[in-house]
Amino acid sequence: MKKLTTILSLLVLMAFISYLGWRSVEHEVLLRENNETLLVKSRINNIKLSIESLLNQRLSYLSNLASQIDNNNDKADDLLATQADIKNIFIVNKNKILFLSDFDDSQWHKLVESIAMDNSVLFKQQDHSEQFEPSSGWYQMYNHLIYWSIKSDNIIGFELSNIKFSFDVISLLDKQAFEDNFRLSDGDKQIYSNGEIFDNEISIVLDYPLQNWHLTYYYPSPNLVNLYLLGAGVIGLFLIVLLGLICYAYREYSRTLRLAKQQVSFVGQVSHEFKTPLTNITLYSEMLSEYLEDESAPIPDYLHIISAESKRLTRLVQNVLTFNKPNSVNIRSVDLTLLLKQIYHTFKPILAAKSLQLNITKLDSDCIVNTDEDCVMQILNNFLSNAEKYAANGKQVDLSLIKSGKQVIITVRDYGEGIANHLLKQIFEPFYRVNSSITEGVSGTGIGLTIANQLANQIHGEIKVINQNPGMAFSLILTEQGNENLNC
Amino acid sequence: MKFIKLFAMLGLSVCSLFSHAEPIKQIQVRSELSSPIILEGNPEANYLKISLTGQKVDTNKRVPLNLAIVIDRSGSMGGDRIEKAREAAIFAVNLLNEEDTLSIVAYDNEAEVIVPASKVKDKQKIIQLINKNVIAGGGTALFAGLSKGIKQVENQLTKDKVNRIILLSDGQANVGPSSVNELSELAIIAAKKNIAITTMGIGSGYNELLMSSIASYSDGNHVFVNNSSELENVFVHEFTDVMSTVAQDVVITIQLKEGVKPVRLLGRDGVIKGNQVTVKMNQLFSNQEKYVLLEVLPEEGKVGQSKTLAEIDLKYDNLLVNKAEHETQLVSIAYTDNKKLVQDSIIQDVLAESEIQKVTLANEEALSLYDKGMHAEAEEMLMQNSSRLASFSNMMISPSSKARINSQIEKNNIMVDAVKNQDSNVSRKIMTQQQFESKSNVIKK
Repeated sequence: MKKLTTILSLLVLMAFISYLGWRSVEHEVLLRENNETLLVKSRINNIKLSIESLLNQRLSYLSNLASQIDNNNDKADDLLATQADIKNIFIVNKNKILFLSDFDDSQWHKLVESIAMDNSVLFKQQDHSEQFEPSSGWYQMYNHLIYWSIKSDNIIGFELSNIKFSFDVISLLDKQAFEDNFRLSDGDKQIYSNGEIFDNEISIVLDYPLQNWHLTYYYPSPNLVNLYLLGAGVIGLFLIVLLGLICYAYREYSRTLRLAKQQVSFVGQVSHEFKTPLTNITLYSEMLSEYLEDESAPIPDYLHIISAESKRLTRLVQNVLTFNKPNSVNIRSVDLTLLLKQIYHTFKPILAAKSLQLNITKLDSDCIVNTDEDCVMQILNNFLSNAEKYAANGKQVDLSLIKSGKQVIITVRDYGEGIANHLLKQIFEPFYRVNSSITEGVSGTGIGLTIANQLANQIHGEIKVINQNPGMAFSLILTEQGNENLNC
Repeated sequence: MKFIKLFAMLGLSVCSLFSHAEPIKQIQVRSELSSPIILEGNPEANYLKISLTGQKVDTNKRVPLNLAIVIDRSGSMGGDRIEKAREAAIFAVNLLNEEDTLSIVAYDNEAEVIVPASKVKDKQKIIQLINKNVIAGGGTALFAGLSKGIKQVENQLTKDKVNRIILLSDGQANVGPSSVNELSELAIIAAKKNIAITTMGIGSGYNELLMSSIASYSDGNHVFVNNSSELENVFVHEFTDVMSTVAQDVVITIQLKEGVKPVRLLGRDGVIKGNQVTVKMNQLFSNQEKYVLLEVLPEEGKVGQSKTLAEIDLKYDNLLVNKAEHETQLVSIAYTDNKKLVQDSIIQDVLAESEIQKVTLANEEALSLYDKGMHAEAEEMLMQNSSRLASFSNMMISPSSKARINSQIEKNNIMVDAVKNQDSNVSRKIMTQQQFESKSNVIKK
């Protein structure tokens, strides 16, 4: 079940990463398409500008010609004959047509008549402020494109030859040799075409008076397949690397776990072998203490220590054997003060052997807590034996029992080299040993604090480690819980 | 006495015109009236003919060409046609030399300059380009193709070269401006730049009015090529003509005297403004006579009177000596009451041409009848015109006039034959080409 959840959450994570990756690829695609569109727009504008500048050239050229005509019909005839740009000419003076070429074209004729009748039509199509009336400009009607200019009451109009203009546009575009793909049309007549036709197109209409002209620009979709492939590849690679890392980590983890289990089972087997001799030691030391009950002062005490220690070792072995199984906890009212004194007496000679002075710095009296005596003792034993093993150069170990409110805090303080703060979390992990000069040459299983922690959890206590510098302070905090009475 | 004196004078002037008094002159200009002596009183229509004749020149020393070949490579050209067009273009490349400028434009949906205007140096490369790019497929963007052709010729435009475009097409223009008016306007633009466009219509699918209009407005040739295998022959003719160009940019201004009325120009088009008539010709070939025929109504006069009828002003670029030439001639008219004298003085060549032009106009009507589907009426009209010419021919004494009339009779017979035996698409093209030839006022020598 747990495995399934892990796999599922892993899949969800991968899906999420893929989704994010894909979204960023799509974003990139959108960005590129947008860039492409912008580029195309600037290109199409370029083409548009060159066509419109050609028309502007015609404008200045025609305005120059208009100033030459000046009511001279012969000159107008001459221009018609020589200037291919001019298809027709009219001169209107105060609603009267003075000169008009090509009478036969009735549409043209009518158009000029309408201008003669009311020349304000010329202004209407153009953008200009209300007050200001331009004196020249373009006028576009039907398919006639007229440049008009007002010179002292005369309106001179040139009809620009569409064909000549188209011809010039073709020449111009050919000369500029655009590498773009576009079509230029006047209405439905294609004037110029360059390159190929692609799926994507942008169309624009030229400005007045070429509003019938439209320019269509074609461009291929940017080659996004590569981008998609690249994106997918990167995402895939990332996922594979991630999966690989997870697999590697899992393998390492299971390997360590296997090793630990092997270690545990080894310790278990060895411990099991200890049980029989220990039982015998306990049995015979008890028998001996009964036998030598009446001996003078130190002998019964020594025997008592032997039997107590062998019992402790038995319990320890038992604990190791049941490392993974919850211990049966025997909760009852325990006088911690008494227990601490007992421990003090037990450890004083052991520590003294390592030239460590065990002191009781504070001992609050009458601390009776509902807890498991063995557990507390084992935890404290663990603390003290650690101090003995690793803080031997501290000369001194302090033991204290403090009650504060509902809590009882039993602290073992050494004055050794201490443990770096960042390692404090790991010292409770099974088989972890701080790798430094202090652990060198000292034998240990690496499960002492683990068991202590486990035991503390069982009796609803808590172990706190504080770096006191110099030395460490290991505290067991017992709290009144539920029906447990903290009776200090 | 006066008549004799007058007659002698006239005879002398005519003699001087016919005699090769000036052998250096490659271009002969002649202005004559069909009836130089007319009866007093009500004057009748008279015909003023101004002709330019190019003399045979040394073919080794020809004028360089500035030629653009504009080839239709639309889908309809597929197969034999495009192949023949390619061959014709390659044939043209081989005819040219390093002095000549050539450009090649091909068009389908769009126009592409295959060979930009440049001197013909690396023929192999040009031929390769032709073979690679002249491949059929697509629409007919005739406007764009012709525009680019004009532009190419214009890029290398000089007065000392023959500037010409050969346009090959077998279809209806369908991309871009395509109407007869629009393309005629383009042809006029070309003509204003002194570029002539020869149009060759291949097969029966093209628009004969469009193609002949382009040719006539730019003073080029128009040829109907029914079978693409004839294309090379047509090219030979065209090149023989073009390579023998002796004069270019000819402007003839006829200033009629007060009281003389211009009625109409027969054949070649021009501008009649008041008493001034202006006609332009793009070029003159060495083996031809090109003329302007103006119908005039002379002023009334008295017996014995002799007046100047018109002042002819001629300008042209003589390509052989690379010089702009200018010439003025006077045409006078005399009045008498002697009918015999009037009859004798008639210049039959001029009269024959006027008759040919009138018949051409009548043929035009036949053509429009034919267009309306009245095939039988058109045929009958053409036959009538033919017999009208035949009877006119009998009145002619001059062998050259007879020959000219007979050649027109031949043309009419070709048209009658086309109307009878060909399907309407083909016969329309044959008639258009015949009419185009008649209207172009050219006498082949």
